[in-house]
Amino acid sequence: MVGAVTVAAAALLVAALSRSSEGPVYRPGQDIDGLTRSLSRTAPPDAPRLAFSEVAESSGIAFRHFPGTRTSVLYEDMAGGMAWGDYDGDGDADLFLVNFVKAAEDDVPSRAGRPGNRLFRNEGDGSFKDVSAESGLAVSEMGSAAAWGDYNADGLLDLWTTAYGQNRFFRNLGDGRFQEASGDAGLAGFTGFWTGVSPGDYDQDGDLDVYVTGYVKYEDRVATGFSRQYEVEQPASLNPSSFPAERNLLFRNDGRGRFSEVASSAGVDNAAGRSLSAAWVDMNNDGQLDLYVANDVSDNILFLNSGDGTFEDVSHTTGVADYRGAMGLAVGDWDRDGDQDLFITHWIAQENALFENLLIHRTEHAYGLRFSDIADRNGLGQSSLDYVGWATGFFDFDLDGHEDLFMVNGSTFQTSSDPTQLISMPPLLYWNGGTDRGFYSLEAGPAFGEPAVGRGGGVSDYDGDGDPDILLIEHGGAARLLRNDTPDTGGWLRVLLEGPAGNTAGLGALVRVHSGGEVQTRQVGAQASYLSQHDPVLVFGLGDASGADSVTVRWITGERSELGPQPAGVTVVVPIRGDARHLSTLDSSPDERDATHMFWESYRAASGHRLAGRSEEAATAYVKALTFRPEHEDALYYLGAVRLDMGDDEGATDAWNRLLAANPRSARALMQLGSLRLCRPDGSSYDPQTARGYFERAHSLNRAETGGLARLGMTALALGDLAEARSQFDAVLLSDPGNTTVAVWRAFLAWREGNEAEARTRVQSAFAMAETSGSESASTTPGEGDTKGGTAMTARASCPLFDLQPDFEESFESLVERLSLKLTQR
Amino acid sequence: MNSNASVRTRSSVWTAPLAWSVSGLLVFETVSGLSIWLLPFSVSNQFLVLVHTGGGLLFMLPALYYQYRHWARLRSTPMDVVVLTGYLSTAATLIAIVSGVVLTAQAVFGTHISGLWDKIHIGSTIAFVGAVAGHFVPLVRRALRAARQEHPAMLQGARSMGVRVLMVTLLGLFGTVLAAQLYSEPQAYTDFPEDYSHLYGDDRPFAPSLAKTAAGLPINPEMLAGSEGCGYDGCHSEIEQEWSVSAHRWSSMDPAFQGVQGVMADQNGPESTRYCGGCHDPISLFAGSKNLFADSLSLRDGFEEGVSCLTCHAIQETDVQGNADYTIDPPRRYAFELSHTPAAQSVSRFLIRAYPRMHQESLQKTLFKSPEFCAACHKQFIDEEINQVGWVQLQNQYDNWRKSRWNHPGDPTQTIECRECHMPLTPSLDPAGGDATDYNRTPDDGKHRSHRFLGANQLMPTHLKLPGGEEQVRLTEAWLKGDYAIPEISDKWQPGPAVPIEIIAPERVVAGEEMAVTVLVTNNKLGHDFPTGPLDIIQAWIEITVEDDQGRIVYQSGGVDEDRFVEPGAFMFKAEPVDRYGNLIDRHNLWEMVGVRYRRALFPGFDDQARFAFQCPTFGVEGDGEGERLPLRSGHVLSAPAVGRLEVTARLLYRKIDQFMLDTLFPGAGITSPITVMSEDRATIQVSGT
Repeated sequence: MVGAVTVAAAALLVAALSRSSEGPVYRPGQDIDGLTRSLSRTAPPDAPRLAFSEVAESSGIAFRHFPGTRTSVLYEDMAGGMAWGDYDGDGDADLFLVNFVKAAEDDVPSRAGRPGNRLFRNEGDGSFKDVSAESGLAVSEMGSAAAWGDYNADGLLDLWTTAYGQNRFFRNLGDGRFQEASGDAGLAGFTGFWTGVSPGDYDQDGDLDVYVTGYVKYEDRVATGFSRQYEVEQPASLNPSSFPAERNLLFRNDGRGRFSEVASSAGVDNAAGRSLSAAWVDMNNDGQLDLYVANDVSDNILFLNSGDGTFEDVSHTTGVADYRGAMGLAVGDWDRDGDQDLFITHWIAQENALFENLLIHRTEHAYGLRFSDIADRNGLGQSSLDYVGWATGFFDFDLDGHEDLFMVNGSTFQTSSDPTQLISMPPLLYWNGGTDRGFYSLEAGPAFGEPAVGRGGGVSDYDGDGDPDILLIEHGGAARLLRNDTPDTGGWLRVLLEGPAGNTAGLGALVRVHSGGEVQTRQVGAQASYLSQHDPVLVFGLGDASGADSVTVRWITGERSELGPQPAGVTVVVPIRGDARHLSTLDSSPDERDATHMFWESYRAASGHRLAGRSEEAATAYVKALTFRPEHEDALYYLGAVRLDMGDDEGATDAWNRLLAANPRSARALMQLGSLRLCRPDGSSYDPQTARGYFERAHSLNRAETGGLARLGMTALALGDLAEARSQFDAVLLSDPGNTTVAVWRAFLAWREGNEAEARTRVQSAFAMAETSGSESASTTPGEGDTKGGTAMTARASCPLFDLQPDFEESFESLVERLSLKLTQR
Repeated sequence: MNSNASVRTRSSVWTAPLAWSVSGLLVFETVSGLSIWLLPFSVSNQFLVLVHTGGGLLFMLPALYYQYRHWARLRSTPMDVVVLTGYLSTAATLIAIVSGVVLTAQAVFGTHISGLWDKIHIGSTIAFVGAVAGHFVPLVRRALRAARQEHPAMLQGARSMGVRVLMVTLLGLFGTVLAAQLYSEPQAYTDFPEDYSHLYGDDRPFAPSLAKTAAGLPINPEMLAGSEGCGYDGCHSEIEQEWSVSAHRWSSMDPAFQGVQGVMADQNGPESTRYCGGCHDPISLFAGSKNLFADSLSLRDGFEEGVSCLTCHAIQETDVQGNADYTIDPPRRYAFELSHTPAAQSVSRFLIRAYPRMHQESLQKTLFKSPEFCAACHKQFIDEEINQVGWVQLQNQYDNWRKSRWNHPGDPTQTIECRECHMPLTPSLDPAGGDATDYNRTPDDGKHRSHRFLGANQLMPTHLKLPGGEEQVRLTEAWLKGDYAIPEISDKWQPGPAVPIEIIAPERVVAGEEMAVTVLVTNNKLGHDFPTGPLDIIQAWIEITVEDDQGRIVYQSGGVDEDRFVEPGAFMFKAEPVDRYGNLIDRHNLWEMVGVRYRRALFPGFDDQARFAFQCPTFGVEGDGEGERLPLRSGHVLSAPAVGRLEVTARLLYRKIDQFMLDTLFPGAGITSPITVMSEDRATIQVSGT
């Protein structure tokens, strides 16, 4: 009995003890009380609902990358590049996909029949046509990357490709075909494991130079050194650290597409770095392209452009010598402070980096050129630990005015079940919630989140609907075209640069869009992504704004283009020389065409009424025209004129004030506004003091013009400031002795000063001058401005108070009498 | 050898492959050569040139071998007409071969074929035809006679050879013609875009410009572009280099033009910019791109090449009315000339050199020499179609010149025409060097007319950063100063500065009294008004400075202020055109211009006077040495004291675009026109106390 009780008690004790220490069985990776994740973030309620659809197949993009079987050698696993570019100049982005056609153990002959690189022509309706065969670009090679550029300065986009092997240069023949000209271009003799290719005009001579990154010097010795003793998950043949680093190449262009390799002398050969991509970007805002190189398992390097063809390594002093395994690069001004920040994708278990450029700082003093990795506190660090990141880029996918981030992920690890396969990972999209909140990883639809062994990727608004779309290359898989179908996006402005021959896409240009008090800054072509080239056409999100206030472009060769307000929803084409325009293929909807027709119809009808003296009809028609183009300067100018004719001083003032608002440099608006207040002393608008203000503004705009001076003299006369009037009149007469009106008023001043003889002489010579021609040309043939009637066909006396015709005799009767002149001499 | 054997041998001679193939090629070469020489230019003839050249090179060695063997075998034959004509045809063949090789080498490696060698080649061909007829006719008659004498093998041999020769010839000819049929020539003319706006009338598609195309249709821009190609292989490379930096080349890419064109399109309608396109951007105009909904008013070809080589050289007629009153008809292009592949382009350039007839006939006209040709674009007006008000004269270099002292119709010893100054003769290796039809030139003077078209724009070549722009600006400045020597007209042109100035001042003035200084300006060298061009934006003015002998400024006019404006009240050559309401046309908005309120320009050979009156400062005024500083403005006395002597300096300054215009076109860019000192003068005035 005692024994039984003892056993029961012991059992109870054990049960009680075991209950007190036992919780649910621990599983690796489970949520555990007491463990916090301070850096984890949930999306705020105002985050957009991003949505992407996978449309590659339906758009006609059939492509399979790496059509062989992996054999666990490093160079097989790195590839998968692409490039967006409008090679046929039809206004939309075409697509070049780089293939890697040889598995390591393949014999050479079997590779010949394999599908090679592919060119897809954008048909302008959202679909693509495979034109690889006829283009001459369907080369079969172990390709890495590609970049479009007008390298030979013939105005057409040529193509540069890199490979595990050779660099190649394909000349665009202009008829849809390309011709390889690698030898002529000076690319022969450089064999290696070439990865990224970055075109940029680092010496600002107007042509594109090319920087090619070299990864490692691959050696078969390592590749064949498999362990026979241990089970190795990742053989040394896949470890870049097993191989010595390959140098990088800098090809300087002679302006005609012939290159010299100058990396060593320029100081950018980066012999110790295993480089995968490089970005030409102006880090210190000095107008020159600096070079940031992403190195795998070796320090990244920032080369500062010295301006004399050489570069200085400032990576350590500026805090940007990232030691991690760097793959892809994004460049953008995510915090809208005016300088370029860097985002770098890294290997697994290495947070991605967001290097904030402290050159310009929004809230504190400037630091000079220094960088700080702020990925963690902005939601980009810890959340990326699980991924091997590759292609990336700053783009405003919801068009709210803040640049978001995307990154393509894909492991370098083989699956345990099948060593010929690599592990897939989903791409990520980070929404930029502003500088105070940072980035949030958002779902972007099932198509976007589908895991892939991602590598290359590039962004283009290929369908011209204003939002950025993504093309992603899966290693050993298909190309995915992720069309952005996000609803409720903000407004947008696309900026398409038309550079000169040699750099038609305007690579390196710094574009700033001012909108709603904020400035967005982008440098064309700076975002290197990974083995890929984004479309150089920039898409700016405008949020709720109805348009951009202004756009400025600083071209890499130093020229500047400045544009005024731009409406949302248009593509503005900015040529390096000449006027910007809107790309009508995208923005001239039938309605807009009708509006344009109606504007001109109304405007021309208005002009007809005005010239026929039908002021009221003219005013009505001008008002109608202005409903279509509210800032049309000529319409506003003439509307004011016809309203003045109608006696509507207030309406005239309103029209000219609108003109002045549309163009603050409109001297004619100022002259009209001033004249309205000066010329009719009996009118309610008479206010010479205010008139003087307008004339002074007009004169300050164009000091060499006599019109402003004459009006200032007249105003001084009206205000009784005779000395000032004399000074202005003298200046007019020095330039234009034939100005009868001013000459007579100058005579009047002399007479007022008691100098009757001078007054008489002045009036006589003024009349003599008026009798000869009215203009000062000693010429026997018709000269500029001569009319068949002999005088300018101005509408009427522009300033009745001062005009000598037709009532000169009445106005100056007393003057004339005192000067004993006979005006009929005229 | 008995007679039968001899006949057999002769028969086998007729049918030997070498004999008929060489003879066949010989006949083909002869017939194709005559076709090239006699028939009109065509694609077939161009292909024949290629096959003729190839066939000739192929035929050369076998023919020589055949002729040698023929001679070696028959050299002992007694002299008769057959032998004699045989020698003659051999000699003609040799000459044709040698001249053919020379011509081929010239066309492949040189810039042009020589006329003499061409004549030798044709002459030897004609001689060959005659000699070979004399050689064969007796032989054929002999063969017929032999046949009659019952040696039919002989006749058969001759017939067989005749057939084979004919077949080789016809194969060559028809094969070539057939190949030519497969080549499609680029179409010169296209259709108007569907939405093309015929605002100024269906029959005036390019109005308000007066320019017309011969077919009344748009021209494929490629047909007028490609100027760079004229300089390939060193052909017209010197001329192309000169043109590439000239105002004709950048007439469209000129940012001032592009800016004004954009404003005009916005304010007056895109169609109205056709008015400018006839002279500034003809390639784009004729392509139909100056349209209401055009993506771009200036096409890339038009933008890059402006007034391209072919724009001028394709003009068929011009009228002295101006405003681009010309008719253009693009010349036929040689086969493969518009191809983008290097090999095809090489073939096309070979054809141009080997068969230059069309090239010379279509691109060389006496019309191009005449001032009236230049007048098409160097005379301008606006009328109601543009300003809706009425006719206004604009720049007019042509009539200026026509009525000037430089024009003596019929007398080249006194007349100086446009090209003599603006296209001076330049030592040259150009194949188009020399000119038998110009009155002061010879066919072999080893010179060409410069296509730099030096004028007065010393802003754009460097602003556009064109290769050679600095040199063009240097020459333009020399041109403006009159430092540019043109030896071939030195006997009839005025020496010295282009527009000299001369100070006329009293030797002595009394302190405190009013004094006047006159500056005399003479249009010495110009063939037209000074200045000329768009006078609303050009500025030329007198800068005058009067200093006392301590370097203190006593009087100044014509200075430039810190914002690069000429100070108010300067004596200035320019115009102030006005709109309907008397306001200044200040951004070249000619579509609103109704006249001028003031214009000052100087006719060739005429003087003008700038008069500056001011009070001579008084001696001995004590002060801080600076005197009274007044606001900077022309015509003001800036400081008072002067001692003993006054130094007067006057300069004639010139700039291409006024500052207001530049500030308007390029706001905030800080661009200003360079100022050139065209001439200057100095004078000293003694100041006395009484």
